[in-house]
Amino acid sequence: MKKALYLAAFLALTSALAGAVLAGVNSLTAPIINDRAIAAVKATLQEFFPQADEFSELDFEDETGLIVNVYEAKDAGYAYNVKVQGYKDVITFVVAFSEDAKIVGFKVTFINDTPGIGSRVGEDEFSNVVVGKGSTDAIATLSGATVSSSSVVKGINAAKAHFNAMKGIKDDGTSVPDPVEPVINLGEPVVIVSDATSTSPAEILEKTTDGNITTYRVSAKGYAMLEDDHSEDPKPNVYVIKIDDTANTVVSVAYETFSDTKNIGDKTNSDTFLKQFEGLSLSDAEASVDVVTGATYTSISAARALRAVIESR
Amino acid sequence: MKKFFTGLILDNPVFGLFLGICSTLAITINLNNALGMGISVILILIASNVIISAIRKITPDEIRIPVYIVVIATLVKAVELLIKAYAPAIDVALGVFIPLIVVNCIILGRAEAFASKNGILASAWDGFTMGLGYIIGLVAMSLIREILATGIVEMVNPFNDALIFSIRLVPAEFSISMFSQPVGAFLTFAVLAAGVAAVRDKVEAQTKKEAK
Amino acid sequence: MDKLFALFMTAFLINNIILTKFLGMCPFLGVSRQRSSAIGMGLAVIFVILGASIFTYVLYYSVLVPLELEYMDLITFILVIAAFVQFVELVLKKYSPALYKALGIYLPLITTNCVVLYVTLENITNKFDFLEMIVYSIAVPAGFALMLFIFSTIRERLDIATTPKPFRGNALALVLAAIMALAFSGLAGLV
Repeated sequence: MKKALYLAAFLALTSALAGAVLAGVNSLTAPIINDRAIAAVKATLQEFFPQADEFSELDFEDETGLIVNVYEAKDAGYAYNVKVQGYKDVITFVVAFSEDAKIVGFKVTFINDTPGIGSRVGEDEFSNVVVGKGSTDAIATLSGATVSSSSVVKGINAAKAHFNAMKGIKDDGTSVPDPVEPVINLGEPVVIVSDATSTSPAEILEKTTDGNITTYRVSAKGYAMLEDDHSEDPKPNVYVIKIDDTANTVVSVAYETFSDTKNIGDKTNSDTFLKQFEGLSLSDAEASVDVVTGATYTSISAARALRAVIESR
Repeated sequence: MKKFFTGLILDNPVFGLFLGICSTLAITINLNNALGMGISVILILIASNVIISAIRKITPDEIRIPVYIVVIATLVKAVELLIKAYAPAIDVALGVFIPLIVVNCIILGRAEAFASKNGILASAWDGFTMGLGYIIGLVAMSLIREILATGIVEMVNPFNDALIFSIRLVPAEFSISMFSQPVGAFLTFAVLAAGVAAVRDKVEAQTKKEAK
Repeated sequence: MDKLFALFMTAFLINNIILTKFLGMCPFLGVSRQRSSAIGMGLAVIFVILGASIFTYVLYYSVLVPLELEYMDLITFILVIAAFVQFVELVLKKYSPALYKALGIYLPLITTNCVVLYVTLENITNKFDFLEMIVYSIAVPAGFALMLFIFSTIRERLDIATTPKPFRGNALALVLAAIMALAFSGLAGLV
């Protein structure tokens, strides 16, 4: 009996000593740790609400369990610190709503997913989609980063739900997300009249003149017909090319029919690519446009179409 | 001296004795993490060895394990709080693996096997050599994984987030991102463990030959 | 209910403790060689973790938090775990000596099993309510037990196959783990 008491006492004493040591370390470090936590969030909050000078943390109820903190920026809006499960690890982010129910800020504070894939959620590509949306607008996920982005969207929806409930806004769930614009990068230039466009000449289907603008409908073989072995019934791309006859320049190039690969070739059906044609002089032998990276053949088919127009005049 | 080195490799706590595997696999994604964890562990190991050796004569035998655990847990918690306050980047990188140092078999193992039976200086040295083996194991794993997965080796000062150096050793096109994931961790560890086993077999065969 | 199911599946399979979090490797490599010890160990771990979780959870919220002694969590948790394992050992010794003998040294080793401490700490870090804590504390060790069982069936075969000498034993088990990790990583995004 005595032995057991002695053992218990010894253990208790050791634990008490340990506790004293830790209490000391804790009192030293706790204030620093607290400051760091607030400082990290405060900087972000200030970024989203530059005019606000008073921030406070609110108590909240959240069924989803994704919201970590709710902050109020006085007279400016509310910010949510959210934590979701990403592909590999957690993702934490802050999303801020202004008083008039618009998302004014979105910043990922911690992400550990695959670089170049899931990590895109933390980049401008995604935040540009989120910021500016209203509190009842749906948000689309990123293609190619589905797991990470759908988790984040779930988290944003949790914040939206709380914000809307707090403000009495009804979200009838009918909002359809705008598809995310794919990033279009331009690559090497292709000269309109050159070796690159000398094969498989395009065919002019129709030519109409109206005043000093001549409109051509041109059919050019694209990726589907020239390179794609798997295409079942490949069709050419059909372009509508408008030429200013007096200035001898291109007014516009547009797609009438696109027959190449979806999500790849159709990146050429964008202002980024097509606007390059505007103003090109037909007498300039060096006239060129930059191809869309990843969609070279389709870009060249557009150049071939223009070449056919040039050679027909 | 030769004995010191063979001890470091053959009895390497990680690849030879398979102690402390969990943290090795989980955090060796880059050099910074490996050093952060390694240095934390060696400091705790030396401190715990010293303290446990110092109280070994007054600690009742029946409760020695719980007492060792309290000592180690206190040291780990203290280190955790200090890291959270002064080097938060390491806290973010290592996460739950800092408190899990408590159950790192190496520390309790050395306390029980050595520090409870030897003098303070000897225990401190034992902690140092075992810890060194651990750090070497961690650094080896993380260098291999970091170079294969990203091609870069870099070090960041955890106290002020300043970059110390960043060298690209392998062009980005050749990076195999699998190595930053569990698959790569297991594979790298397996190969290193097999390597140590092969070296050990060779040394054993050598000593057997010499004994004849 | 959905949330609890998602929590279970995530902890059990998708973020499997062995294949993605690397916890529990020490006893894993030692015990996964034979089916019988694997099953026994698996059940023991589930029981210990569930029990330890409940005790530490209650201890944390009813004692440590009110007394503002949160920094004592590590010490108290590990002591509770050690005590609980001792308790299980005594009970097994009395009521199932066969299992006690089969587990041998691995039973006290459950104390230093990272998984136990990990689950008890995560219950607090993730701010689980009582029910979520229960679900999580069963799902995680169940995932451990599952892997233990699968590995033991494969390793029984591996041990009688011809393999390169340096790889025999643990290194090969790790290669096996690599392949399983790759296979299971396809489950990400399931819930």
